Amino acid sequence: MTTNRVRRDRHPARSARILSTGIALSATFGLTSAYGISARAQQPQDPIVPPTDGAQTDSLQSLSTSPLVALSNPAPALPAKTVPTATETPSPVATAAPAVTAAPATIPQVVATIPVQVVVPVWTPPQTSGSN
Amino acid sequence: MDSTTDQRIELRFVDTLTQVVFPAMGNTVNLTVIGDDELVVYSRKRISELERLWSRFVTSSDISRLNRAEGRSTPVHPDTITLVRYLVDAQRVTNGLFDPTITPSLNKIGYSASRTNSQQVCELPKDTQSHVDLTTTTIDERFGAVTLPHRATLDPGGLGKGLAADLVARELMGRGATGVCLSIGGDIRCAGAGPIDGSWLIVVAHPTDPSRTLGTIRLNDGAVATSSVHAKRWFENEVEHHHVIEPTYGAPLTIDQDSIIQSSVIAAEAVWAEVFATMSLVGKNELVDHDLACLTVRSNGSTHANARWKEFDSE
Repeated sequence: MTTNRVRRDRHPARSARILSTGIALSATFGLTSAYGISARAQQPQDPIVPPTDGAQTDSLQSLSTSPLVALSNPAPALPAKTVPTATETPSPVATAAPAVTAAPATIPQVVATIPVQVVVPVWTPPQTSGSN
Repeated sequence: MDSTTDQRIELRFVDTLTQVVFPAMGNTVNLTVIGDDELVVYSRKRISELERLWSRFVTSSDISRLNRAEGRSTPVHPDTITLVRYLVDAQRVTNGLFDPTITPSLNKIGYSASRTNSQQVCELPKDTQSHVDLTTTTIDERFGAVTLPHRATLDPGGLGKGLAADLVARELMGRGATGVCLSIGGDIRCAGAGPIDGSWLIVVAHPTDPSRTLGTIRLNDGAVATSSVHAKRWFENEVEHHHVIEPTYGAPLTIDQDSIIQSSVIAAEAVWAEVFATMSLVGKNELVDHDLACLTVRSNGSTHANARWKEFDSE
């Protein structure tokens, strides 16, 4: 009987609340887990996610601002000296190249692009020597 | 979104690196271009054009016509006017140690024919002479004509190669290249961003041992040239000669036990790098007073890199 009384004292809404809380928690854990798995699955693809427009613009600006030492005409009396490279800003060519591979599928023109850093090992520095 | 698409297409062309090696100007050309493939085609045409204008072995060249003019005004191409300005200034700035009027001496010791085509010969009027002061040279900009002093002739030599490298590199940058490294017979001009962290690496050759090098330098925009008595050598009457002439005597530079036998100089332009490398070699000095980056090798095997040179050392 005691048992029955206890049963009678429980309001029907309480069981409903427990049930709904359980469903809500399960849903939350389930979604979190699902997101985690999804995130891990996408991680290898992160490097090819297109950068923001701002980042690309910066790269382009840097590329286009590489200075060229002007030739003098008529010839100058004395040659100007070059600035040591240690003080100069490294070119962004190498960092700009991955942006090319991030092109969306709607731009098929960039498929055949060869980034500079891929070619670097092949490039052979020239030699300065007396006339050959 | 449209602007982003445009930028990516531009990057496609920017990042294409092409390196080609081909013969020109009696030497080997080593050209690296970051940009459109058409720039390589343009470079070859342009270097070939400059060779036809400036070679003393091409009968129809501007230089050959000037050398045969015997003091008369001669119409020349605008590029040749630029060349003549540099030749005159180089002789003046180096107090004659770089002397472009030594063609008669070169012919006399047997360097009168092209080394790549012996059918091409440099012929001069009989009364021409070496070591002529060029300060009275007349350049008529309006009619595009040059008048050399009486008996004077011109040999562009290394200065011509250096100037060609400067001109073509500048033109390639103007046509959209983002990086250029052009070597004509070892006179090298770099411009724009190179493939090694944005820079260009240049190896300095050993004067006598091809299997060894004297190190590597790192350049961005700038130039380096080397002058060496071991570069062009030939036998005449069983005597071995080289092409670096001592202007006062009109004979190959005498080398003793501790003479400078090779000099490399870094400058803003290949044309001036070449001039001062030759000045260092002929003048037997390490350009300490000129604050130029200079690396010299002596006949006893010792090398000397001044403080400026070490700033460009990549190692």
